[in-house]
Amino acid sequence: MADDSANPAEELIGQTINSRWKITERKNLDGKDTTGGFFSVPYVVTDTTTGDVAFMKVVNLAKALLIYQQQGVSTAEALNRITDNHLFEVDLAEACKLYKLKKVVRVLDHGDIPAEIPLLGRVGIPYIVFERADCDAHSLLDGGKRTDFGWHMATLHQVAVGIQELHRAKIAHQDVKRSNVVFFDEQRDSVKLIDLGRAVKRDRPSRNDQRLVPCQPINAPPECLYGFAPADWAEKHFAADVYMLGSLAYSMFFDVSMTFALLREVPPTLHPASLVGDSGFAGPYRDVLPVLQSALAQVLAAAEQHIDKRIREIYLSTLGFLCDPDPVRRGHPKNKTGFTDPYSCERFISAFRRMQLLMEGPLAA
Amino acid sequence: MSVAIEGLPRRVIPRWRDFRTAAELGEFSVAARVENRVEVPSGLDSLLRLWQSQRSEVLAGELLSASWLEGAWDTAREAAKYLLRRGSAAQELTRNFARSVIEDLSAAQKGQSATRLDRAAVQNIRAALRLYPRDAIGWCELARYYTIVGKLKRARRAMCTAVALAPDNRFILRSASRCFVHLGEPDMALNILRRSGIAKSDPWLAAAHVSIAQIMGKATRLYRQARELSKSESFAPFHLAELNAALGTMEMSAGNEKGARKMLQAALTDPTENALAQAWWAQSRVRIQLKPTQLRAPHTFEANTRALVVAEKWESALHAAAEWFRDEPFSTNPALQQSFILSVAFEQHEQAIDILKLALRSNPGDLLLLNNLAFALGDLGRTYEAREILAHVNVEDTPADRAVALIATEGLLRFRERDINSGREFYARAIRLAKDHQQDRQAALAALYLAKEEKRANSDMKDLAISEAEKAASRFDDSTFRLVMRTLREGPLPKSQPEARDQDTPLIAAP
Repeated sequence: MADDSANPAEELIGQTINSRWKITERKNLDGKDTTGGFFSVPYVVTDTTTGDVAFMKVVNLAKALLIYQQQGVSTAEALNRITDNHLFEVDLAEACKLYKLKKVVRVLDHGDIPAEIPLLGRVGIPYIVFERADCDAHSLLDGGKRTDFGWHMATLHQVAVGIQELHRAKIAHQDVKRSNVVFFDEQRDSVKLIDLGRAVKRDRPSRNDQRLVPCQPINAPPECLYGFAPADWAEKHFAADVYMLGSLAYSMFFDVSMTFALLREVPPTLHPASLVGDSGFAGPYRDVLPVLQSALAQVLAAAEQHIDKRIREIYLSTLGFLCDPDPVRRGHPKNKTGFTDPYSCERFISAFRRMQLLMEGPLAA
Repeated sequence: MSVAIEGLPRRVIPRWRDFRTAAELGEFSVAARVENRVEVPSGLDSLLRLWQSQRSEVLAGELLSASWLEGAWDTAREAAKYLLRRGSAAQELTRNFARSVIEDLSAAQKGQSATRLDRAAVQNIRAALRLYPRDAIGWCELARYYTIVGKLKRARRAMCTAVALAPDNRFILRSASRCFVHLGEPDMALNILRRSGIAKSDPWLAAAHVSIAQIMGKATRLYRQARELSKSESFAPFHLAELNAALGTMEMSAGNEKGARKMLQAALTDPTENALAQAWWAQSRVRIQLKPTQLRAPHTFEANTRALVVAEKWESALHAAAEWFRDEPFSTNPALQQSFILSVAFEQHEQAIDILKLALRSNPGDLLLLNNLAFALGDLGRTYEAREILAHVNVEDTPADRAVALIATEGLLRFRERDINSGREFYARAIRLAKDHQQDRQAALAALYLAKEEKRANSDMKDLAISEAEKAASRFDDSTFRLVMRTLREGPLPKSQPEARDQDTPLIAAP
């Protein structure tokens, strides 16, 4: 590990960055390990002009260099990767601003902090400032929202809007999960998506494009775990987002992930070799696809009796469309006509809204 | 006369099992492994850190999922136990998951596994298909269930849907080809295999194509590709076993004993249970080296039945045939073999009748099943019921091998109705028909059954009939003949006597 005492990114408390952001405390990520979190230091900052609190991510250049060095990556290549990643994140932030995305956390500022780094001398340490949420879906669920299914649907509705906004900006999030869904003022219409650390952009190549499994296995679409990457960009990335939305919809009700539930229904000899090693399945994805589709049918059947009957039909059909193990078929079937975006979330946005109303709104009676 | 399977032809038609059993037996395993191992980022460490600092049902569910997926069994068990301890705070379905993980892990420790397709499972499949109709395996399972209970039109529809949904999946195609052979549409089975396009490159499907073409008396269009596949070094012997057995059977039919021996021996290198059963069927026709230890492999019920019949361990053979019937409840052969042993060896006709009625649900109108049923009923003296069974059978339109059995059974019924002269005439007709069609084995068996009836009737002709039957049977030295001869001389075998086992005695593998 890097020696933190010699690491400027670790020692910023008390400083004011860009004459605006006063760094007040180092944020505890509670074990949350995102791509950004791994190579960056999180801080809570205060906007000295408005008094608003925000969240700042500072690239931990020294630590990143050390880790790359341990992996046998040359310093030049390591710097290249770190810079690439940061510039890509900035590009994503600019795109979000350009497309006026409302359901994705806003970037308030970005730039460099001048600092002295051993081996490199005086360099600029990149930082990004985001608006700061009050809590994530994880903590709200822990805090008693677990059985409020109207709240679940309202949240999913907003997440679907967020994904749709990102897709409109040609961005695929690639790590949609409970802890990346945040709330401002605990108002359920103030839901936003955070952490574009694994995101990809259709018109801007990045290192993230090369990831076969975009996120942790618990949230990963099954095709990724079986090593199948569709050649088509949308089939690979947008389809993964759509699956993760379905997995989120499942885990908000049942706490366990959809990928877990699916693989529970798959015989052990057909589990992905990437997870179980040589005893697992290492053939073409098309050979195991019917098994996963059968597993999905079983998962839906098992969930049926545990879903409120007011939303049962629409919830299960939505789940079936979102979590179809076939990335080509995934999404709403009415979007597969060739004239619309096959991975459009519009119909799911409506479906979640309808379910929310059925649970608590004027349709509830 | 009751018919056993020993003299019947056999082809390497794919087995049609429930998908979990098929998966366990390696039917989904990859013939040629693809190197597509991917780096999976682990999320367990960060979750564990979080778990140490705060515990909740939400986190426990997440930890259960992550640890189970990443093979951290102790953590999975801990999270599952937490969820179960929390009682109603966790969703019922979540607690079901937790329970199943704990049970699963302990079952895995004891080496248990496997599930079977039963009525509850079928209801579950129907419910699942309503929610997600694109489940090809679900349709295939449903088709199997419909076949077992004799709803053959529904079975056909369900299987057509399965094939439409997954036209290039080995399990679906093999199940479909077996299904259509069962439904008397082998041409449809061939069409499905041919249309799929992967039969040329998948030895499991090529084996099915070769065998089904053989049933139809056609030359397979995939012969060249099948030969090339069988010589290919890209496949492990297990994946080539059925293809080698199918090609060996083809060579055998063509009279090329050397070629047949070579292919069948190759099939035995690392056989599937189907290839092993084919080898045990072929062993009386071609000289091949069989390894009885291979009979210990899972689901080798048919091979065990055949091996135990050869070893004349009739009671064990009966148990093996019963397992085989449980494995393939729609198949005629296990029911025929069971009913033959029950009726002829032990004269336990009531049990034979139950089994035959079950088998007739999936095979309505099957002449050999009807024949054995009529035989069992006749031997019990229930000739009226036996006649009802045979009422719709037109012997004139029946292939000679089946007609011989049916006419001989008519002879039995006449004997039991004390119309002895007429009974003799029917037996004589059966023997003549068999001889006219060069089926000397059938003729000799009919003579033995006639002798049994003469002896039972204590007629003047009994000594003559016995000596003529023994003379005819002396040409055939197989276990079926020896059994019928023995029961002719001594009556039914005593049951439940421990049978001596030597080192080479086949064992029934634990299911």
